Amino acid sequence: MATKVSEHNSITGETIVRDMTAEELAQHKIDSVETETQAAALAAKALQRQALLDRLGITAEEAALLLGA
Amino acid sequence: MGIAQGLGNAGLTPGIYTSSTRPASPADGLVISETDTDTLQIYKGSAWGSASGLVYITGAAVSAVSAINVNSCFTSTYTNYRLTFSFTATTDIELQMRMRVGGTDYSGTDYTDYGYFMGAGGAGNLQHVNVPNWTIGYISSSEPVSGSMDMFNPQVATKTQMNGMSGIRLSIYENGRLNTTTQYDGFTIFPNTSTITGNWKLYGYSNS
Repeated sequence: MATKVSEHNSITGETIVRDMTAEELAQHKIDSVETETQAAALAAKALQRQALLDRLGITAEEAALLLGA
Repeated sequence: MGIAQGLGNAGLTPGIYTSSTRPASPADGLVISETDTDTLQIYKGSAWGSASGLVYITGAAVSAVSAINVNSCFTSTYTNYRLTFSFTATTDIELQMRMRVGGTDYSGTDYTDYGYFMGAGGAGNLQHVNVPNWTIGYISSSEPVSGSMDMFNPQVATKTQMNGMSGIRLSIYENGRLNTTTQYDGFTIFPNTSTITGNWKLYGYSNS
């Protein structure tokens, strides 16, 4: 399925829906990779956090209480 | 000026002008209907100004798109703007935004936003520093999410700033800055993945 863009001209009020250009598609792919990278980093951080909680033998709520959060 | 009477179309018609044909220096307090801007205007002693504080500029409905490009919406008529939106998505997404000039996104790593999020899963700080876009909302696949965002000085040769809020299941409140002095004339909204469906509207804050 083609990646669609809504293009709006505020002077005429006209909106068209078109396929992304090659340049826009390239940026879209860069953005998608960035999203995946951020999601992977967050998932890794969550795993590290859980591993630390397990090692300390406390829950996330107890850790928040301890830190005054 | 006139009063239109009749079943179903009664009303008061002030003087009809355009921004080019309106009187240059009429009596203080004169009210006209300006047809090219579709606004009621008041002469405020030394200049014309909109009768309302927030003036609708443009908007549109979209369906299953990966980006919304809005061109030529920021002009010298207004200094500050308000964007409202209501979108649905088929998967949980981040709603992102870039400024635009001459029909092209600015995607340099000069966008920064700080904020706060809260939701059923917890709460915390948001921080995106020197990234290629702002994050302006989180949309859950389970229900529509509406939000608003103010943009300051997008068409002025100074750093554009914004603040906004949105969300239901994950609400965010944030402020942001674009570290360039470019005069932007448009913006792009896009989901970080998949597509969005819904509508958006842009308003200008009257300068006087």
